[in-house]
Amino acid sequence: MRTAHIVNGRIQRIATAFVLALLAFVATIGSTSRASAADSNGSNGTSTSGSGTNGHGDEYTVADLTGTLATAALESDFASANPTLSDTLAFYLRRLDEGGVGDLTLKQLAGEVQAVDWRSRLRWRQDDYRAPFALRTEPAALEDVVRKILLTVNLPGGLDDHLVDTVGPERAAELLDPVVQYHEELLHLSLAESLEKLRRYQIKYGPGSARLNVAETFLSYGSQWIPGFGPNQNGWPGPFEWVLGYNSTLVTTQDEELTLTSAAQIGIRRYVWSPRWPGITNLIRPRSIAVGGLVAGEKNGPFIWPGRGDSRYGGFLVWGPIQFAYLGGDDPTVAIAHTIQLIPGLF
Amino acid sequence: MSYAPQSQEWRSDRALLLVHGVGNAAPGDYRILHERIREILGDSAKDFAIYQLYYDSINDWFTEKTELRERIDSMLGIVSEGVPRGTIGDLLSEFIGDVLWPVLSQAARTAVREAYLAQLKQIVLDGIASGHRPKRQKLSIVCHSLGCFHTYEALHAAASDPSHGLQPATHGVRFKNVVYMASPVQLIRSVASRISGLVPSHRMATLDPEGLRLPGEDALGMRIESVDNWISITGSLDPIGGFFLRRKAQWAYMAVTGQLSIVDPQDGLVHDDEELRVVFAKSLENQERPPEVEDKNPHSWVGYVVRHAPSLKAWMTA
Repeated sequence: MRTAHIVNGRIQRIATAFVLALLAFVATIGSTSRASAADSNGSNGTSTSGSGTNGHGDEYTVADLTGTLATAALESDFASANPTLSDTLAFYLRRLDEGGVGDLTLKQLAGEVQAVDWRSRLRWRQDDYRAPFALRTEPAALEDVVRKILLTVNLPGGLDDHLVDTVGPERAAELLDPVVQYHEELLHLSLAESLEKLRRYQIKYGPGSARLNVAETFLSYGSQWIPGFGPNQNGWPGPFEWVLGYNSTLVTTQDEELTLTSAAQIGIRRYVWSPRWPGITNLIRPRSIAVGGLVAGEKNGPFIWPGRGDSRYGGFLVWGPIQFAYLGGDDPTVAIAHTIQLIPGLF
Repeated sequence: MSYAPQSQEWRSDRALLLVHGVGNAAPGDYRILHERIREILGDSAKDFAIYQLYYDSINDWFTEKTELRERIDSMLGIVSEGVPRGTIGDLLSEFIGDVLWPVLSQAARTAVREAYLAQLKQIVLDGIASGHRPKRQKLSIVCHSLGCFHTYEALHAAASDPSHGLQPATHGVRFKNVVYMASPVQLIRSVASRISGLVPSHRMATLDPEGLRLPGEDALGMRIESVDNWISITGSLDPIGGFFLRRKAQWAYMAVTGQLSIVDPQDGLVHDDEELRVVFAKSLENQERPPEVEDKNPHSWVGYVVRHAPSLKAWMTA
């Protein structure tokens, strides 16, 4: 009996140290994930990474864009045809010139513009215009100026239509090439962002993701409105999900023998978006990690009601397909389980 | 397998996107429809880059993770209270089961919308790569049934969110034709409104308090709409499109200001209501693959396409 206590105690100490190390590791994941990818609050980190772009926007600079458009307006006498749009174009081209961004490539410009989230865009448009120098430091202002220029080109009766009518389709295409290349860069970035969103949806909901039981399904449904659980305003999935259920497959030791124990558990699962994580095996690089608390009955055994006798309380950590649990009480113990649902939809 | 939008080289400045409705469609399905469209376009078909949006694999993620669809189906007795029963009610119940769970699940809806937007971006990029700048591209969409709902949502998102690079005024991305066949957009709006407290509705254009409208962008004091020809085609026997046994139901019929509305008289399709019931029942027999597209089915996508062949050709090639 004494030997059993010593063995059990060693297992507990080793397991506790392991669980604490994992918990510390989990705590660091949040920061690394935020640093490497967009978080749940609307930033769109992938858009500025430059990954996934296949355009030719590094051939032109912003100065080329403004210069070519100014030439196009002059060559086609845009001012006579549409004085209002022509004045608007001239005003914003000047703003862009004075903004100290002329050396940016169109690929870089697209990256800056794509990084603007809806909150700062809304705020900037409400504030309307500020000093031109803000363009270098305020992407929302830069985005606004670029948008106004694009509008004067693309609106019906704008520069594009006017060029086609006056200088012909081929010369128009030549003069508008920087505009098209900028747009192409923007679309590549935006497409990469859409595909990244879908990759995250697949991590959270696709094959291999944690299956929800009835309680978790309804809890998840009710949590869609809570930031971090449902998609945010920009369409990024929230990384969090509830864990709620009854686990009757926890394996622990008692009197030197393996035995099953049961516990009710509640916690939070966090999906790991980093491309480094869901990799070769779900065990080494899990797509999700969960932590929470659990309550078990006084004695070990399958299907023991958690409120039976003096309940034991503890915590758990789910690392991919493996669950580690610690139960306190008079005889603290550790347990381990696989996270597959024994009865689909239930537990 | 990760979602990847279709990509192809354009042979001219025209592209057509086909968006299917309810059904477990996978690449390769709707081959008959694709062939019919090519027949209708005739010699012009070679000028079209024809894309098809397959989004069922994404729907499956959510179905399998939560089994939510089955759970919602079991609640349909509550939801469909007051909805006509019998022949039409059966079809409607099946259909609501298919559409309601993505409406209730914001994540499911958003993921499909994102896949749709990704496909639109790829189409525009393919056009640029083939030498056609976005403002000069002639884009068309033909959608059917639930595909109309996803089209409506995606086009509104494209028009209102600059981050997609698909706005009609700023980016010059406009659609020559969007043809809605048996659109359930108004039906979904009505049903979802009845359970509005349960529907996470942010950024859901179908539930816009101002009503259904053409997608567009407000810019420099003007409103530029995304679509030149917004066409709604339904049939007098098609409940999904808002007609219940030849009677238009205002709460289910999509009526957007500025749309060209066409209602097919479908009495000739079936002899009587009993035959109509049999046709609907047959179309619902197998939920594991797209609905049968036999010409008698008032909801058949191919049926709508064939009946409007001359108009479709005229719209697409204009």
